[in-house]
Amino acid sequence: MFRSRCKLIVLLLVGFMLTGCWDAANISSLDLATMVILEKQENKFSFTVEIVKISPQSGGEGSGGGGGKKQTYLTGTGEDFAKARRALDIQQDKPLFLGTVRTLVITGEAAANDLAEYLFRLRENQEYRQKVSIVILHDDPKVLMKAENEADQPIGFIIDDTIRTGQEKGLTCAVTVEKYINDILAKRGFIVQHIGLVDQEIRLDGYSVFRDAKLVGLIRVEEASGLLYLLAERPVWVYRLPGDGGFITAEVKLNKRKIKSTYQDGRIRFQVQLAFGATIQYKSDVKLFPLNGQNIQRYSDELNQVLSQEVRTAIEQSQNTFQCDYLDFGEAFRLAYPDEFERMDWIAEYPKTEIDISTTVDISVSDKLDIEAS
Amino acid sequence: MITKKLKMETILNEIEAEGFALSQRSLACGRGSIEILYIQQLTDRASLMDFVIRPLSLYARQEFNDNHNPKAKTIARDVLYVDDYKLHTDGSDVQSFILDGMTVILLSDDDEYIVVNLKKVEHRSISDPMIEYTLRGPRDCFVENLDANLSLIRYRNKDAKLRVCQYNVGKRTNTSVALLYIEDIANEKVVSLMKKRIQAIDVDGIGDSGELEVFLQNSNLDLFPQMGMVERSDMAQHLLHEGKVLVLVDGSGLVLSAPKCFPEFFFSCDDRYDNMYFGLFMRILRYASFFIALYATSFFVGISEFHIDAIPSRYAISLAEMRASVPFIPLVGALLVEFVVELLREALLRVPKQIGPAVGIVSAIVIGQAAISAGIFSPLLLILSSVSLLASFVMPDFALINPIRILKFIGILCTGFLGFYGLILFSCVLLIHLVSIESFGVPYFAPFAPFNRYDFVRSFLFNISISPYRPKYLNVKDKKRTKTRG
Repeated sequence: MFRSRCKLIVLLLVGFMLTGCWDAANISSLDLATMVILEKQENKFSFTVEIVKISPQSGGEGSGGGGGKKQTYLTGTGEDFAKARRALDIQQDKPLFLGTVRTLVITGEAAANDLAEYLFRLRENQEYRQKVSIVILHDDPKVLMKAENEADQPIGFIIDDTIRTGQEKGLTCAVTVEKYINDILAKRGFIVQHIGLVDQEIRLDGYSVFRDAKLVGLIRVEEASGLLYLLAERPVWVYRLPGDGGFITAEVKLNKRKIKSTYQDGRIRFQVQLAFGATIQYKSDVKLFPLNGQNIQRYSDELNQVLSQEVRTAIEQSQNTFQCDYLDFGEAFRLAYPDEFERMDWIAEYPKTEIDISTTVDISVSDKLDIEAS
Repeated sequence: MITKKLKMETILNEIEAEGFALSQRSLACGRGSIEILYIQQLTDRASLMDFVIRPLSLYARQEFNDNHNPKAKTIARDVLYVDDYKLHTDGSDVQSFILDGMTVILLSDDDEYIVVNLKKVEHRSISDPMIEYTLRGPRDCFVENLDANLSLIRYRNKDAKLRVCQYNVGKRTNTSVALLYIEDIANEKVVSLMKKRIQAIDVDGIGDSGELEVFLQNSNLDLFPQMGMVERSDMAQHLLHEGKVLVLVDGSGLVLSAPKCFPEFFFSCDDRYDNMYFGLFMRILRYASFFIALYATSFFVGISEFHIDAIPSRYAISLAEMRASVPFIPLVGALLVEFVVELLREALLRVPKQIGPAVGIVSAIVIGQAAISAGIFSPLLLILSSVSLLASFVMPDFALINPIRILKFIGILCTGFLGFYGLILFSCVLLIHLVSIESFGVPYFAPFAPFNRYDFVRSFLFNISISPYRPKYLNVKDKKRTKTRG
């Protein structure tokens, strides 16, 4: 009995040493941040945080609060990250809570040379969530802060929701901070989603390409279909194919992606096999386009050609234009040939690799297609 | 026992000296007399008149002349119209028989006297259960009369192996206690342990089965009950068939059952009557309710005080908005709300039924509306406390509700001081305790620990046709329950 009581006391003491009421951070006495913007101008760094104004009994976001924005922005500027953060902290009337941050916005200039340092800081900082979205912004952050939205939601939430919705719908790929760190450590290239403002609306604009943790270019979202077929989980793209004076619209989904690598006589070869499924959803005229087997096969061949070309362009762009492996071929090779990968300089080898592309398209007509429609 | 020669005069003098209110009817019979002693309030007077006094009077007038003396054996056998009688010779027992509600017939010239059972105690009629309410099962529940309760059980168990051992407990109350078990099923060790514990009780009196329970269970320092409470006779029958031992106390409408394991608190007799998948659903619901009742408020405290990042950002902001005008820290707020909820629960339990709804409405308005409007409590905290209260009512055995009520406060305090670490610590201590205690030699946490796959599956998915064996952890004599497969 005595021994068990002793054990219990020791257990409780350990508990008190590990944590205790002094660690308590009452939610109502914190400044809840939803977005952090990292900016660099004239060799000075700025941290801007979006803080939600907590109004009592507003019943959650977007439900009143009565007039004025529900968010405030605080900026701290300094010669380096630490000084900028300190400048921000001394303005706070309440402790800043970063656990609610959903988006980290890094301006083009800050990302160009200093992304790696910031990402390493982020990895060490336990305050942030693991799944925080990182985006690049080439516009002025002040414009972003003034962006209007009907529900007056925090901008950080809107950006994160935009990216997550895109991921779910197959319009963009999922990337995590951990992957960025791994890519930087392995000296691989990587892409970061790029956002922009069009008519006050926040939208995914494209992908910023990083080589050796330095910003080297931008792939517009309209030209990123090939990239998504190689990186995204379930990419979806819509194509309009002309024929006989009219056109059809087909939705293309990637059903299966297989990347096989071989290493023979010092030559690295990849075989990329992509199996697509396409559904003809609309056509411009019923009479002109009878969707018989012959026509469907023709559209299938055309689509196959287009898709194959898009993927080829994406690969060539990574090998020749940007000369970095942001398409993750290196990972496929490392898994197949770990020892060889360790020995070689992948950055130098990647542009020389031979990549064969093979695509297939399984085309069908949508059940909802009304062939009698006038 | 030393048998004393009966001296009617002496006995009557002793009783008179004691001064307790009894009724006495004298009949002249030959050269001697017959004295009928009873307590009016405990005796069926109509039966006394029809089956004892009337035949005795006739017998005294018609059959005897001056030379004959009445004999107890003859009267009991040939004169009285009663089925339950005994002949005794020990004069010192007369008082206790009378106090027990028996009618004692003393004869002036016989060493023996007759004890007739014409006991009649007023008790409420058999009614619907109050704490084990059922939708489908039978509704005859136990009342405060031992004979009535035994009759309910015997009616359902026409088994020659059903054993009923009767004891009298309490020096002053002399309360009848009955121990019931089925001889060829029940674990002998449990039966003998129970018998030993009942016989060892030396107390002034026992008023209810709850009072007896504290003498029977392994430890009175434990928060968790180690004996079950049964209100319905069909449940009692099932428990006997499982190999359990029942203890009935005269004057109590609740029957005790043993051994009782923790998972059994989540059983309801209805589970046997309903579809087994519905039973499974209900058990999952009950386990979930147990965790909600125990942890809901603690989670709120943990999240809003220590681990804000454990919830999505959107909810964190909503939570902060809800708590913006609340003056108390989450720990104090949670303790206050739970205290108010407990006040309400207790108040509703004690007030007369006519006032109950009014108290409910007033408290709902006062707490639900005014407290939130005044910014005293966070709405979410109030919702969680109410859900926690509701969840606690889902437990089929209300004996488990009381430990939850106390443990909930400990959980809130642990979380309020140590965060989720404290909650985990509290849960570990609770779990360690539950796996280390026993109920009459049976591990309390069985069949989870020690684990038994057969019993574990049946603790969730039970249907008698697919459960041929009785629970293995009870270690009963007859292990097979059914040979018919459904």
